[in-house]
Amino acid sequence: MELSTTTKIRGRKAGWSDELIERIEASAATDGQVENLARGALSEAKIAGWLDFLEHHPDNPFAKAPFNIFQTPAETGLKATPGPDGLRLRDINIGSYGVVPDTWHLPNDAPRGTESTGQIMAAGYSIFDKAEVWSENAVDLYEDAIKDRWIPATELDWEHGLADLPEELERAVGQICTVYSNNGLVEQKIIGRWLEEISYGFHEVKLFLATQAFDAGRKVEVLRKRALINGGGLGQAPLGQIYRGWYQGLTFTDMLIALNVAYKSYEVALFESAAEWVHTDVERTIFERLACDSRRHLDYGLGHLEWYARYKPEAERRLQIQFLRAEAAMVQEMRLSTAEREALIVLMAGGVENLQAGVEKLKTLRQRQYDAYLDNLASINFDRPTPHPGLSSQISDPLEGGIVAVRAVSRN
Amino acid sequence: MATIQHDVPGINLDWLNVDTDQDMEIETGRKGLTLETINQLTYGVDDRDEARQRQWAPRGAAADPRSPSNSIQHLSKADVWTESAMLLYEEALQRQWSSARDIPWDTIEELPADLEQAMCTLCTFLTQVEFIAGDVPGRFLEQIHPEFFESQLFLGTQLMDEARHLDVFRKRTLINGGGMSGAGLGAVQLLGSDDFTEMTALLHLVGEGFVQTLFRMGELIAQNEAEKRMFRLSAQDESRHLAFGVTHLKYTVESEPWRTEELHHILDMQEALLTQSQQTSLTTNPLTGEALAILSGGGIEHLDEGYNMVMLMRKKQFVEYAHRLEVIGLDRTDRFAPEVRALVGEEN
Repeated sequence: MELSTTTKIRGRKAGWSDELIERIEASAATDGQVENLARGALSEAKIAGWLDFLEHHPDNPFAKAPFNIFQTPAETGLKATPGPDGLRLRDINIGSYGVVPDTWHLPNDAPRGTESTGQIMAAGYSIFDKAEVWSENAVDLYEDAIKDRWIPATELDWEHGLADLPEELERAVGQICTVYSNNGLVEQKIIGRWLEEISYGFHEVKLFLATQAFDAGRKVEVLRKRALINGGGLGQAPLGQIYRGWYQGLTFTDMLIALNVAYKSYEVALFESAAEWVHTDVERTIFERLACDSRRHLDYGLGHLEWYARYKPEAERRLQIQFLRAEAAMVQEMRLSTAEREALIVLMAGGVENLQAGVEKLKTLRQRQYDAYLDNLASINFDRPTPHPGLSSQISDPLEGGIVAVRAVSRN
Repeated sequence: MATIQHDVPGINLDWLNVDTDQDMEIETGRKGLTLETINQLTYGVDDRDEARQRQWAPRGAAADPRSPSNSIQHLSKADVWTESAMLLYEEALQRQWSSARDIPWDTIEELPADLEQAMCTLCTFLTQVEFIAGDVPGRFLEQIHPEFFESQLFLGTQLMDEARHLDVFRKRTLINGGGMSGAGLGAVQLLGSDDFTEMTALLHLVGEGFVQTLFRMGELIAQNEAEKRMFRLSAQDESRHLAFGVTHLKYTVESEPWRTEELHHILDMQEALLTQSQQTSLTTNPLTGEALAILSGGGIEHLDEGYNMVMLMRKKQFVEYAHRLEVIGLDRTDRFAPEVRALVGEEN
C-alpha cells in the first residue's frame, strides 16, 4: 500500500520519519486508517506502537478500526479557562461553539458546534428560531441556580425554627403553602412539556428550564412540609384558573409571558415581602430562598421578552393581547379563589381579631406587586400601556369577586 | 374551628374549616424532614389503586369543585408509581453537584492526541444523548396525577441531573484542546415512547442502565482526577434514575401482572436493537466503541487490551441488566436473544 501524498504530508508535519512511513506502507494498515491517524497528528511513537499491535494481533477486531474519531468536523484547539466561580457554561462558549445561530439547522440531538456525520434521525422539536426561546442571561442563570441550590430536608431548622401558633395563623400558613405548593406542581408540569419542543442548538435554554423544573419541585416539597410539620395541615386547593392562563400560552413565548413574567412578578413580590407577614424563622427562610429561586425564573422571562420584542417583527401586535390574557387569568384567580387572599389577610393582621388591618396591608401588597410587575417590564423597556384593570382594582378593593372577561378591556 | 365573627364584608373564612387532617405529629429524623416523614394520615400514600379526581389538588388538600379537570393525568397508580420515589427524591437533593466547581478541572493536563480525541469523542456522544434523557421524562411530568406527585418530583430531579450531564461532558470536550467529534445517530428514538411504563423500561432500565455500567467503570477510562470525578458523580445520578425505573417496573409487574407480556415485548424489541444496531449501545457504536478501546487500553498501541476491556464492559452491561430484570420479577431466561444469552452466560 502506498500512502497518498496528502497523508504523507500530514504525517511528516506530525513528525513521522521516512522510516516510519516505509514501515506503514509495508504493513497491513489501510490508507484510510493512516489518513485518519495523520489527521489526528499522532506522534511517531504512537504510530510505531500501533504498527506493533497490527503485527502481533492481526485478527483483533480493532486491527481494522477505521479511526474515524480523528475525522472531526468541529473546531479543535480551543481550551476553555475556568473563572473564579469554576468552569461555567459561559466559559466554554468559545470559538464556533459559542455562536448561537438565529435559526438552528438540525432536527436531531447533535450538539451545537459539531455536525451530524451520517444519517440524521429527526426529533419532534418545533422551535428552531432563536427569537422564540432565547435570553442572553440563560447561560448564567443556569449556573447560578446550581450555585444557589438548597435542601429543605436538612438546611431548615425544623426543630427549633418553628413556634406554636394560634390555630387560625397556623391554618393560614398552611393555606398559603397549599396554594403555592400546588402552583409549583403545575409549573413543573408546564416547563417539562416544553423541553421536547426546543431544539438542541439552544441548549442553554433547555438547561436553564431544567433548573426551573427542579426549583418548582423543591417549592412543592418545602411548602408541603411546612404545611404539615406544625400541626396545621393543607387547606383549600386553589381554583386553578391561573393554570389555564399558563396553558393558554400556545407558543413558548406566550407561556413564558403568563408564567415567568406576569405570575412570577407577583410571586416574587409576595415572597420578598414575606418577612412582614410570617411568624416563624422557618417561614422567613423558606420564602427568602423561594424568592431567590423565583427571581431567576423572572429574570429569564424578562430576558426572553426583551429578546423576542427586539427580534420578532410581529411582537408589538402579538404580545399585548397575550399579556392581557395572562393578567386576566391572574385576576380571575384572585377574585374567585379567595382562600389565598383571606389567608394573607389573617397573617398580615396577626390573627382574626382585626381583619380590616389585614385588608389594608393586603392593599399595600397588591400595590407593591402591581408596581413591581410594571417596573419589571419597564426595566427591559417594554411598554404595557393598559394592563388589565382587574389588577389595579385588586389594589383598591382586594376583596372584590366575580368573573371578568378578557375582551372587556381589549382596545379592539 | 368555631365560626369566627367579624364585620368585614367579602370575607367568609371558609378555608379555615375545610375538612383536612390537622394536628399531625411529625418528628424530624436523622435525615432531616423528608417526604417519607410527612407521609402520614390522608397526606400519605394509601393503598388505593386509583386517584380520586382529575382536578389539580395536592394529596390531602380539599379540592375546589370548580377546578378544571386535567384529562391527560393517569388515574391509575400503577401507571406511574414507585414506593422509592420519596427516598430517591431526597437523595437527589442531597447529592446535587456542580460541574463548574466540583470537578477538579485543573487536574487535566495535555494528553497524547489519541487519548484526547477518544475522550472528546466519548464526551460528544454523551453530551448529545444525555439531555434526551431530560426531554423524555419532561414530557411525562404532565401525566402524573397530583396524588402521586412524588414520582413527578423525582423526575424533576432527573431533568436537573441530565442538564448537568449535558453540561459536564460538553465542558470536558472544550477544556483541553480536543473539541467535539462528529455527532452520531444519538438517542432521539427514545422520544417515541408513548407510555410512562414503556418510557421507564426503555430509558431507565435499558438506556440509563447501560450508561451507568460505563460510568461506574470510569476509573478505567479516565486519564485524570477530573474525568474520574465526572464519571463517578454522573454514575451516582444514573443509579437513582435506574432505581426509579427498576422499582416502578417492579411495582407494575406486581400490581398489574397482566402487563408482564407487554413489558417482555418492549424488551424483546429493545434487545434486538442493542445487539444488532450500531446506534443504541456505547460499546457497539463504531465511534464510541473505538474511543472506549483507545481510552481503556491507554492508546492506539494497546488496542488489544482496549478491546478486551470493551468486551468486558459489554458483558458487564448485559449481566447487570439481567440482574435488574430479576429484581423486577421479569424472567427473561427463555426470551433473551442468542447474542444476549451469550453475554449473560452461565451467570443466568
